Amino acid sequence: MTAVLVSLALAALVAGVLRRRNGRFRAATPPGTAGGALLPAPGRLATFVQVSTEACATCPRVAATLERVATGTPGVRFVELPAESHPDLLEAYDIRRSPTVFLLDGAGQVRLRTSGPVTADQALGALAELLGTDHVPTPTPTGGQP
Amino acid sequence: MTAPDVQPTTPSTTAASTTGASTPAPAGIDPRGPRVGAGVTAALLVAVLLLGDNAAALVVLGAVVLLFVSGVVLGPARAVLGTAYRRLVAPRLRPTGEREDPRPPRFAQLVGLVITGAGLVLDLIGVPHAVTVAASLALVAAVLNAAIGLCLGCELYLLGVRLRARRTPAAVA
Repeated sequence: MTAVLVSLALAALVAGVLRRRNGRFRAATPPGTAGGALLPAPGRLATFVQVSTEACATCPRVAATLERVATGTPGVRFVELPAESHPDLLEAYDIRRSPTVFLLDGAGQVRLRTSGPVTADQALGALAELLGTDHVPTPTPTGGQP
Repeated sequence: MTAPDVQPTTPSTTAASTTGASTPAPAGIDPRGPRVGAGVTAALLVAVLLLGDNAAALVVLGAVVLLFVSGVVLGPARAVLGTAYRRLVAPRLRPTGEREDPRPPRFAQLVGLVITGAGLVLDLIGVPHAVTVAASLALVAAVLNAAIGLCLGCELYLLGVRLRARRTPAAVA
């Protein structure tokens, strides 16, 4: 009985922590090594770089969301990179989860990052934070749910 | 050992597109299937824990191990629970056009198999509480999968990629 309750409590704890973290963009610290060279050429204003793995159920959905956001916002590019073939990138940016999403500015510097499922509103919010609201379509008023 | 060129994959336009894997994605499955399966697995693991450290618990855990074996060997679509979902559960649910890559849930089955299989083997060679510890760990993973669709094994997968790359730096890139 104790084991069941401990397991359920642990699961609830993990779920709570992840729910708070998922898709929430935060300021990115610059990589220790010359990590900038590892990233693709940036879009004119901003670039979403998504690092995905094969064993990642949410990656295709997040990629579709970011692709849609990038297509709808002039000057914004979207690139998806397979983690398996970019080991240096994983180390340089200390990537631990898939998907991990970086938001690069027009100069190719990583400004914001997040991991886990990302909603369109969260992506648009990050773009607004980076570029100012003039460049970005207004997020839908329904809130952060996908 | 130069830094690998950044080769962006083709940006995807549909949800069923590649996750950046080198092989083309296999046919998609109903994403609710693995979650229902995880619910059944969770119920069985609760039974294991409630039975306590005895032969009955070992038998139920053995059944869970076999379910995981079927998931790994046959893949989530054709495994025992996947087939049961398609025949018994899916017809009663609203049809969905949503499809998911079966490789992540298959990897999750492998993680479940390693945990429960280790518990079973360790118990059989006399390690105390092996069944309880293994069933508890597997229960945490199964509940998270069933309740919020989180694949704990997939969360650890990327760390595995990094460890592998660190050990064989020349083989990658």
